[in-house]
Amino acid sequence: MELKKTTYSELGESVYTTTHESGLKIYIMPKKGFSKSYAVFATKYGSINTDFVVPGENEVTTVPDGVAHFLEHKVFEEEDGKNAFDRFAKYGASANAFTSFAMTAYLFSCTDYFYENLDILLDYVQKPYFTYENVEKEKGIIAQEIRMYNDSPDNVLYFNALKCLYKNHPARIEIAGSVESIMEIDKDILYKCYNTFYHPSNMVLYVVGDVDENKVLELVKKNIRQNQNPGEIKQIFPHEPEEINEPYMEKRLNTSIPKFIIGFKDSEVGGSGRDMLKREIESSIIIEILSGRSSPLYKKLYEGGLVTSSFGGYYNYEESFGWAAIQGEGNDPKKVKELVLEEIENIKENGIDKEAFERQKKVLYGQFLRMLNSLEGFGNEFVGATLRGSNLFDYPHIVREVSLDDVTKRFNTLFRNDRCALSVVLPSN
Amino acid sequence: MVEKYLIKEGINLYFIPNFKFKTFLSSVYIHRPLDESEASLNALLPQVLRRGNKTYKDLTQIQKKCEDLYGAHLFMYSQKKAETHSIVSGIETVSDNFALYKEGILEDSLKFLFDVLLNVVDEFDEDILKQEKDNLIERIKGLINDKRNYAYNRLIQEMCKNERYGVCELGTVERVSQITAKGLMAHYKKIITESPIDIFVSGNLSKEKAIELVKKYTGALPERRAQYPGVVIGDLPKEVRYVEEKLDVTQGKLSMGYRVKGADEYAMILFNTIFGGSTTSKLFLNVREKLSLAYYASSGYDRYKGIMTVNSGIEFSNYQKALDEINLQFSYMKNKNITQEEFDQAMLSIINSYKSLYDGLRSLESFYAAQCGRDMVDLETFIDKLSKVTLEDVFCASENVELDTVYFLKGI
Repeated sequence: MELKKTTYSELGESVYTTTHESGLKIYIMPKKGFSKSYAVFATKYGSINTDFVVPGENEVTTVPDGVAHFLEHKVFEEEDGKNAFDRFAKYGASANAFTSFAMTAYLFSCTDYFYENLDILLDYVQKPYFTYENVEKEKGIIAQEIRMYNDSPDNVLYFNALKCLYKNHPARIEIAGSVESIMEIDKDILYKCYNTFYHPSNMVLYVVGDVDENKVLELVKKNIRQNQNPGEIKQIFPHEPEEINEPYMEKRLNTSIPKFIIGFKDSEVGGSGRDMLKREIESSIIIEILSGRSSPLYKKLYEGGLVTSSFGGYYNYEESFGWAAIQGEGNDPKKVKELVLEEIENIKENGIDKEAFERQKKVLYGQFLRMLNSLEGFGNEFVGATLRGSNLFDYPHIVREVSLDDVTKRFNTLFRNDRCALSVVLPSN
Repeated sequence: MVEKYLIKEGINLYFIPNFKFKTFLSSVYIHRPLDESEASLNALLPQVLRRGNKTYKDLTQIQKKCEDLYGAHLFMYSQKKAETHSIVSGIETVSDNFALYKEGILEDSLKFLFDVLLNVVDEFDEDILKQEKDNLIERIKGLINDKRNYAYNRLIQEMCKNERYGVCELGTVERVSQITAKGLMAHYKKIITESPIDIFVSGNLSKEKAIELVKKYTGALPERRAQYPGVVIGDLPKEVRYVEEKLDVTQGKLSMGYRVKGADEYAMILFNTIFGGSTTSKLFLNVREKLSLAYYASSGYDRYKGIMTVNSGIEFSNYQKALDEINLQFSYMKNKNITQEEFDQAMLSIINSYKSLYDGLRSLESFYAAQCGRDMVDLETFIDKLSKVTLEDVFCASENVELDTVYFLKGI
């Protein structure tokens, strides 16, 4: 296991990489002068992985919604009734975990005792301890968490947009599952998913800070005991048509002003890691050109009182799905959608403004640099990209190389009337 | 490290050198007393200034300028710290050494920031005023959307209803709707000439350069008497007040407010961390982990105002159980029922949090900006003082904390 150093001199950054014999990929990013160190131990396993074939088996395994998130809660549990937080606390680390559509990440940051804390991270994530009692107990806590999400207008708005766009793809399901689906989860299901997805060959370790890369490597060797790579986990996704599921969905909740997301389902998904990164960059550029704060559309909407200052667009994707969102607040979401579609036609007809295009490239480059300031922010993005097979450090190069032609093509593919849906949350009274 | 430099009477520059970041940050704090009579004006003003000035005529021109500066973040808002209501205007941009075309981003950004703040139009446009009033009113009404914050704000409102601290930093719907273009302009002229101003510059540049640039762009500002609004610390309560409110929610929110008076601030920071400020705290381990009564249950301590709060999300039916358990844990805190292990873990956790402030330009600036008008303690000194707190000091502090108000948000 030898470390390979890659230097990105124009960014003033470098990364050490290597792969452990178990298949675990390791990334170490030295940051001189930072007080904090940050480590992420992540598995390529998230809420959308509900159907899969365990390596060595032939049959498809299907599990209830919310297992990945449930596991995230339970992995912290330790045999003596304590949890990993207790162990981190002894060394002053601030530890956490999160589950997204396609990954589950365990992380900590600390300013002292980095190696002790890394030792704990590598150890506890590899030592599951699920019992009938501790699984049942967790259901109460997770049910509370789900109820909290159900009360959150932004959360409901977001998942209703996905439910509009997707007929079958599990991206339409809330990450934590539902109060009903989590009741079906038991310790056998948790162990089966754990054993399948928490093998080092399906995981990534990322470390950043003022750390010694060789000491990190020693700790990995000591802690990663599995050596056999069991082979590929076959992910199964239901057939998803290019068409959207429903054009409109609304829900009444406790909000003072209607909130909306105008979603566009992308018909281009997947490809190589670099392809996906390029698609993300092109999509971000055209979303800003269409609806960003310097766009004619935003001026019209804002000055017309149709939206407030919380208005903006973003592109969301994983390997198996992708969509653009334009999100805001205002009393007439349907009118906003109409004006957005009108502006799309207008841009298709007249072409993309070259100046706006150049400005947005500068913005993305600036955003990337800004992200490098934050150990956690960059780390999480880097790990997410790595699990998709992308190298985040390609980002600034791709930004520079993207052409007006590229984004024009992207614009025509992504922004289609018939792939557009509206999700609205209205005040309950 | 922070260096203070007097630009002129009533206007200070605080310079925070830093070479490890890829961006540069500068913020201007205009300090006003927190008061219902002007809170709405202070909240509205930055939103109107952000809409255009003599150099950058409208929203689109301002935004295009930000984009040209590599997607600079221009932020303008008002915030409250104890009885001070500050209008904050700032910009964060990429450092000069990363500019793709060798252009000078730093100076251009500062010039831009001061243009927005000082090169103001002669009269505010009526349409713009109306739009921004409507937006602010929506934001005030929208405070109810985030239930966790809403419960906290309602607790503070109830607990401090006879104090200026109870005033909302966004103002009120009634006051905002009464604001006129003339009234807002008069307010702007008053605060820009009379209020103490603190300017922060952080990033990859020399102190000399920072002074030179700030002097250059603040030349038009007159001297003023630097009178900071001060702080009112409330008395320890004689009895507990209970407030209940009903809303269409599926999860209950239990928030509790405590008064702190006469306690050592550093010891109180530890007190709060042990009680509910970390994942090894009494509240986290008991209310959440042991009894599964809440998805979240934590405490926070505002050392500037002398208030500690507990915030939790619970099932409606668990109200009494959760309240009893929080009170029980608080009584342990008061009765010196704290182990050395609990103390040691809290110490590690809190030192970790404060050391982490070094790793963000904004967090570093906020640490110092919160101390404007007080004797500024260097972060290094602060961490050193914190690390010297003993368990005995926490026991001492526990005599100066009392429960004041219990607020419960339940379903209809």
